[in-house]
Amino acid sequence: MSFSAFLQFLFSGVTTGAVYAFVALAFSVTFTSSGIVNFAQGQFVMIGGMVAASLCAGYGIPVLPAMLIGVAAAAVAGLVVGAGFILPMLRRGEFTLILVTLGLSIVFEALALIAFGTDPLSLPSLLDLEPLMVHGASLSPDSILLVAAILAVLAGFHVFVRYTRWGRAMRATSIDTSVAASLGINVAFTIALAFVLSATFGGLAGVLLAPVISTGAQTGLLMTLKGFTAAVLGGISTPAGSVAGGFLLGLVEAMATGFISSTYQNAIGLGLLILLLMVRPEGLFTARTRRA
Amino acid sequence: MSAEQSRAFGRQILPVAGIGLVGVLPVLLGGSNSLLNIAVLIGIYFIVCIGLSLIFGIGGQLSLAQAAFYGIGAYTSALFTTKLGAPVLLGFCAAALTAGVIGWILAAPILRLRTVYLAMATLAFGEILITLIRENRGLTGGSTGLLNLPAPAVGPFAFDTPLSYYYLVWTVALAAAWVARNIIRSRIGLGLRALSDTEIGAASCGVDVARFKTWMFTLGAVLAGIAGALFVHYITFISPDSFSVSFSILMVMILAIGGRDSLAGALLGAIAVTVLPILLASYDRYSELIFGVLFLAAVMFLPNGLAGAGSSLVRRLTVSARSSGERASD
Amino acid sequence: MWLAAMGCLVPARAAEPIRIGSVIDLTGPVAPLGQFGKRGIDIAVAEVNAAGGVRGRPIELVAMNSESKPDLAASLALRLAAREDVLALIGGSFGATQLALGSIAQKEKIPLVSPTGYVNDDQRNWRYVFFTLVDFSDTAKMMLAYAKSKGFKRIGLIRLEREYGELGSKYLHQFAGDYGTEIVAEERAGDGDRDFTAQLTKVREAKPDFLVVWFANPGGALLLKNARQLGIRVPMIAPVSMDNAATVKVGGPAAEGLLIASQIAGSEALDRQKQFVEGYRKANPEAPNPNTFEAIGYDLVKIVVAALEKTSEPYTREKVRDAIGTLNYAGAGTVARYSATKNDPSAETIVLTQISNGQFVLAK
Repeated sequence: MSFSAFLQFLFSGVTTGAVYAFVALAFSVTFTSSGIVNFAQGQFVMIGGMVAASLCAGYGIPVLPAMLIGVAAAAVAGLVVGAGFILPMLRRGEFTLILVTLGLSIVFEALALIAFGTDPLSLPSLLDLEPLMVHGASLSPDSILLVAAILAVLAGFHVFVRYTRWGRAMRATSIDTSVAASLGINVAFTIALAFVLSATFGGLAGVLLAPVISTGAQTGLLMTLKGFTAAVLGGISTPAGSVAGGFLLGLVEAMATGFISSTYQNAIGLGLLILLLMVRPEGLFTARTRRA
Repeated sequence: MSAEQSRAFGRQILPVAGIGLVGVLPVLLGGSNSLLNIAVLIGIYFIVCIGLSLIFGIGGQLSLAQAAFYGIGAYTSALFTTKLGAPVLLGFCAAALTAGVIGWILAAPILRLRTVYLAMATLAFGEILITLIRENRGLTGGSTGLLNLPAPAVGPFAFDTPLSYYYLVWTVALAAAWVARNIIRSRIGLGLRALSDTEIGAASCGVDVARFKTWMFTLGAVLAGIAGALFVHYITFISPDSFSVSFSILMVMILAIGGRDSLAGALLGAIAVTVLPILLASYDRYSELIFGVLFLAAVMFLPNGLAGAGSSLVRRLTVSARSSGERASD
Repeated sequence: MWLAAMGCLVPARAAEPIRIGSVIDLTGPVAPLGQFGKRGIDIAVAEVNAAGGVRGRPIELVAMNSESKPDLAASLALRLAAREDVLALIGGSFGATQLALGSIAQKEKIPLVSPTGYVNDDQRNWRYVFFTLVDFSDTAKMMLAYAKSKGFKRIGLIRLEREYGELGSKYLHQFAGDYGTEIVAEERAGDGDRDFTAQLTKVREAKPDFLVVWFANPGGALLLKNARQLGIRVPMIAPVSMDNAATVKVGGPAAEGLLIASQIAGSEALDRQKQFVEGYRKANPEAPNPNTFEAIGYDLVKIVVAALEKTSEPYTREKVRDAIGTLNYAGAGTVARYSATKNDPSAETIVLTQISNGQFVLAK
């Protein structure tokens, strides 16, 4: 195996990993603020990508404004989910909430299929540049943008949680909703905010992915499954852990393809996950603070 | 009749009524093959969901491994009968045994996990299994599967019509329901119900939490395995597409629609999930949208599923009947 | 029985419609294939009815969506088989639903015309099931023959994990030697994968001079993009699954020059295809060039209609089956000479196309 091949697997893993990381982060944002695993998470990625791509392809709107509208559409969908469906159901317990998001996921996909049709779409690249060649391995500028974006979003989110009033409210809510409420925090607002944020991250992932891996009305569920795997792998209870889980999953899959077999790529990623859960039931990159 | 008496009466009359209804249903359906076919599928889903309601509804553990055990049972029986030429009923036994053993081995490590982590681990197990099935092409036929699976038979009598298969499936379903009912009513069952409240509470009542969970998981696996075998010998072919994660999610949806902590819930959910897509199939690409909206509405507006809504309706009716009766006697 | 009784209540009309059951995957993972097929089916039904139907009786489609789910497909097939007025079935958009429908058609003795090809050798003996997609062994041979004619010897293969790719791989390996070629690399990926640079790097290291991309979209189109990104410049060929607009929409310039073992070149229709292409353009002015799956959808209806015209009234399922079973049909997407020993199209169905300036044209 040549060095350039290894490097190529590495690039491939990091690109795919950045995709997973985006969705994993979005999972983590709602999980940490409200304890909800949002099974409609991948649909925000779909909505962002499909809205942008169809505006661009169908109405000739330039790439950047199309992308912004795509992200905004995802954020609105997040608001609808959070305020319209999650908040009224909040008292009904974790299981009901998971099922509500599952139902929403089915509805979003069915609507997208009717609105956008079945054809996959692509967006033109934001950076219309030739791929870089590094020691015989090729790296697409869109991949670099994707990685830069996830790292920037993670850093931004970190600052938001640490240093803003709303962010601190979110953290307090994640620890204990009733205590947060007694401190005068508007819990409903905070949870809705978390959903809008996580949908925005999903939408951002969607518009940035579309030029690299295309998008389609049915990409949502796949994104949900991969993102969820990544989040659990890294530790869904910490945003940074989730992002790390995304990159780890992407790298494991790419290396498995490269050195073992592409057939078992998924199985190896998931096998690793099972083993890891046996040893560290709350994910790899989490501090073991709480004990069940 | 007091409430206690009427409940006891219901307890005795229900199983008899169930057996009777299963017996005469084909006559009520006018012997229609297409309706009997739907009843067969409902029965198969019901069996899987009885298992799931033990693990999840009563044990409180969200397992997405039912598709995997369903597949293990299906492939075990398919291979026994096609590769070894074993009789299908023996294949069914092998299916139950294999699924049970794998379930039992898996239970101990996997059940230490909680909520989303358990869901993720069981989901991963299913996906790995599908890869293994797909890749062992020489044995399993890979993703194109195996065709022409034989129908089960007892001596010269073959279960090869929807009517005979209906009776086969529902005999198994009733047996499974009977076993599950006894478990739910037993001391163990009460312990299990306690589990979904607080584990420490259950443990302090002398319930061996880990052991019960393991046995419920194993029993759930056995039932899913039998159901899988029943399914593939009915449709006469097997391919890995029938055992993907979406099947596990569908089973959870059945309990969500029907109600997750009662057998009636599993049954009503199985009926809804089987019948709805067939009724909606002529709505073109809108069928999935309508199904999704109905599912969402059921989850949001029926907190205890169809079974819960049904029993509260019955309660309201009896209460109002009794109060009006009392008023009349005054 | 109820249904039959209900049928009696409907007053008998002069032109009782002829009913064909259609079970297509309009949603779920293979929705694109199902939607293509439906487009062709609708065109054919409209065309037949506009021309006065079959012996004065209109065709009526009893259309069902099987959602890419094999067990739902089986239920729907049984439901349709139980309706005595349904004479034939069409549908089964991919391996799993096709197997389900076919198994039921065999059991219930109702003819089925499917928009797919064999996925299992046992299906060659199925009496009631007829295929319109060419046998993948013929596709594989055609690809190898093309390689041989151009002097390519080292063939690289990247393919889908699922049955479709499995079959392609099986036949390419089986026949490679016969054409003086060798499979020097084989890599696989799933429908959900979106980055193939790792697989392609391994293929590139084996230095193939011809690359078979046995894949479906959108993965297939992304694969072409990745290949270009990695500097792979060898000619590439794909099977019929990449004969659709997504290859060009997603693949962009990277799709230029791709060869496809297709069954129609929409922009350069053969004589047998012209009637369909005209009808298609009227129905879809914004996307004037049909793909193979749209053409095959049209053929499904036309094959049943041809059989009805060939046989005599009163129609029975058995008569329709027998008529399809000896049909000589050259249509939009398929050339079928069905016989007692052959229930799928002949190899001449294959049309080698190539992407040129974003259009699917006949390969030069």
